[in-house]
Amino acid sequence: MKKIQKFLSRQAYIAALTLPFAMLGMGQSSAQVALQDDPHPANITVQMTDEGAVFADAKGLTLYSGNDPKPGASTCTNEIVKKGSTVQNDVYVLPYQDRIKSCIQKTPPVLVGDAQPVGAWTVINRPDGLKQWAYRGRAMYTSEHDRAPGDVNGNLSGRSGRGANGSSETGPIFAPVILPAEVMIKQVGIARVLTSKDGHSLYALPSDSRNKSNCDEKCLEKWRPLLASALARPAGDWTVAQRSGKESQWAFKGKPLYTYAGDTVDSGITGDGVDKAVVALAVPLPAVPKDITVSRTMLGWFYADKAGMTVYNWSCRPIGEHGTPKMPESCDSYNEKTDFWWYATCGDETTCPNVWRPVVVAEGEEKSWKGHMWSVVTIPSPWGPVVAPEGMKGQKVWAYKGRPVFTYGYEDLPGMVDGYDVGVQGLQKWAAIIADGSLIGRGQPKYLSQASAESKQHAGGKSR
Amino acid sequence: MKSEGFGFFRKSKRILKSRLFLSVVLPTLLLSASARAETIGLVVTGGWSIAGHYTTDMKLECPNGYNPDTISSWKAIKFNSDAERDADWVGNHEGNFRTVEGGKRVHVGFAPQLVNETAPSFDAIGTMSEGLNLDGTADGKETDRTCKHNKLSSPDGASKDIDNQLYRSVGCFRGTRPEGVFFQYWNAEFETAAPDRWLIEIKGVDSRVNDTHVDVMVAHGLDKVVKDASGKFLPSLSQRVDTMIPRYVYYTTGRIENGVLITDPISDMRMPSTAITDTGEIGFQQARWRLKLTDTGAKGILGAYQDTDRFFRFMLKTAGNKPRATALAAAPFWHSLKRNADGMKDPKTGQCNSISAAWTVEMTNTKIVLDPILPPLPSRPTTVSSTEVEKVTRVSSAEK
Repeated sequence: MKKIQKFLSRQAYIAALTLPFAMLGMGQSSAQVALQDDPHPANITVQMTDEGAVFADAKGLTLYSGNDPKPGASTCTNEIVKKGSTVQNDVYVLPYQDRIKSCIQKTPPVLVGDAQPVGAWTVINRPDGLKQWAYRGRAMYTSEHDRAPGDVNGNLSGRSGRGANGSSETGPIFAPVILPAEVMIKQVGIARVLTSKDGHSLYALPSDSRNKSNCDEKCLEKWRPLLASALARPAGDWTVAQRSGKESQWAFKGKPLYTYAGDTVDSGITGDGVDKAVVALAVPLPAVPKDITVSRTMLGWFYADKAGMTVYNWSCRPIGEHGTPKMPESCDSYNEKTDFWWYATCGDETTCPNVWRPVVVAEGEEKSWKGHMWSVVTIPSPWGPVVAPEGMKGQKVWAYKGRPVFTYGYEDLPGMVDGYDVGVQGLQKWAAIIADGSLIGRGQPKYLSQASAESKQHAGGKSR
Repeated sequence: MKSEGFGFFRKSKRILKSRLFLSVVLPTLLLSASARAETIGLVVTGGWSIAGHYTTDMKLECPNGYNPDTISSWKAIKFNSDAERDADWVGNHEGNFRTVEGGKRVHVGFAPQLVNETAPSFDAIGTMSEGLNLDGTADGKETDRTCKHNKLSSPDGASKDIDNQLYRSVGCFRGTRPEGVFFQYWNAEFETAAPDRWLIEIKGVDSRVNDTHVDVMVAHGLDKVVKDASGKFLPSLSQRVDTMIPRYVYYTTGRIENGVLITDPISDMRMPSTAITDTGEIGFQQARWRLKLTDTGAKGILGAYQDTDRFFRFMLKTAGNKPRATALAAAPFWHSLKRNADGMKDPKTGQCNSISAAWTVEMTNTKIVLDPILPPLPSRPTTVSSTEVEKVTRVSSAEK
């Protein structure tokens, strides 16, 4: 019997599995942000970031809500907690006591100063006598991980609840945009997708004209119009397209919107590319280096290097159960002394570079790079999974949200996530980075919209 | 005068050669045969464990009792003073760190080769196990590809050539025994965790009792398994094949003997799995299934070699990450895997890098389907040889 073997070349395999981010961005426009007319105090600003328009302090640093258990109060103090506890309630002393930071040092509260409360902004009287801003009742903080306006490094994407680094940020505060009552914004990986109220992604069809649906009976079998109520009025980027009969359909930037019959609320955007449909994004996708791709893994779509190998951040979780600290902040920041926590998962400075391999920036790339969510940082020499201090010589590598990324040397095929959650005592872990789920769809995604914040608002009605 | 037989023969030849026969009758006969061939779909729903002989009082297989866990191992360390002990415990509340020769501080899970625990650990010494003969020998003698080891006998005594060295390594750790938490959690995750959806499709089944050739596909599934009110898994619900990650699709062949499916080896089968909430890939080399087909599914054994380093990392990430619950001490476990390794001998060093294993498994019938929204199924290789055990049968989407 003839034996015919077909083996796929590594390059073709990678091409089948990954999609270079260079293909994205085509068709994206640079439309204006349609923000709500939502008053804010004089020392609060609105800042554009790769994740959308956020509220920021007077310096432009992103605001976050905290881990406070009750609205209208802040539990973030200057106390240095020196002990931790396990789920079995064993209490133990934390190591490196001189490096432990207080909550205020990690997430400085945003102070009122001389400004006056307005709209959804109120004042919290802190236990230390200072006055702190609250937005919709939640105390506001900045993050020590943000260094410049536009940074949203305090909250690693894809992890809800506490910030992925376990710090007290729970999420950036997006400036509200105008949305119809039938629409909301849903996070799909790092993509912020416009969806129907029940969570189905919205799409535009190339066959439609401006504010006019050309979707016939056959088309309607797959594409369901996002209907507008009889009272719907145009506002911001939203218009109302009349359908046959008495039905009205929402259109965004003139494009009538639909849900896809093949989608479920959990399926992301499988309709993207079907019949050349374009998913409606609330925020443009961030610029991604050409050496970074996206790979389909069993846990979803994760960022990967150009060979399709999943990339990881070194992530510490100083806050454990019940809000008690478990690890010093030095775990994921540089310290003069060799920190054995870095080497715990890989041996020592000679073995670790082979286990956790940095994604090195090609020569010349750093100068031409304009992105924000992805940046170029220097890791120390000898190897460390953290950013080297200013002026220290080291290796230029790609970083996601300010944290250098690495591939896992024990993975030998694209799409593996064996490195995910490799860690020590549940405290410091290597975390894979959830990427844009939009690439699940077929065809080349083209993105419709440029709205940029999260809010629920009735278009044409009173602002809330 | 020609005999009637000869005349009949000539007449038969004319019939067989006739256009009517060739164009209508023959295809109809063939179609009927293929239409009669059955496709059986199976999904793993539990019964997942490492086969072996486990007794209630452990005296037979583990006369020294349970092996120490990581914390017990730490407590057995002889420090020079109480102060030294207390200092060692700082930041080490799960007992994972050790100071080894040269004063280096290491984590037992990530540098087990440097750690020799004070408290001793022992291998299971039972002599019985379900399983398969993986090395082809009757007595476990050394070959050019395998290392010398003791064989095990099946419980019914019919087979005395079973290879399952992994049982020896896990058999005396509390967490990985039947009464331990590891497999209790893992089996529950075969119901709840998306990665733990393993499918087997058997095509071309002419007889569920005896069939000399069937085609087999192993794949990852996308859909939930469902139980009825009595707690039994519902058979014949559908399972979509996960073609979004085509490397989880494997093809092989097999046969059915006395109602038992026996597959030919898959040289490198890697499946996704979540065990105690952590997810990774578990690899099976020369993987063979032996499954008794039942009315509602199948039950049997997955026999394979497992690369010791890869398997150790999977266990470290899943069981080793919760040492208090799973009581799996990383360093002794690693040393045991290396000690009991019996497969994939390195021709240069003579070291065996894989360990034979027999996994028990239970499966429920399912209807395996393809979702038209998802990428198509990778095509089956033109030939899948049952004799080339080193052949890679992994297929990827570029072969579409």
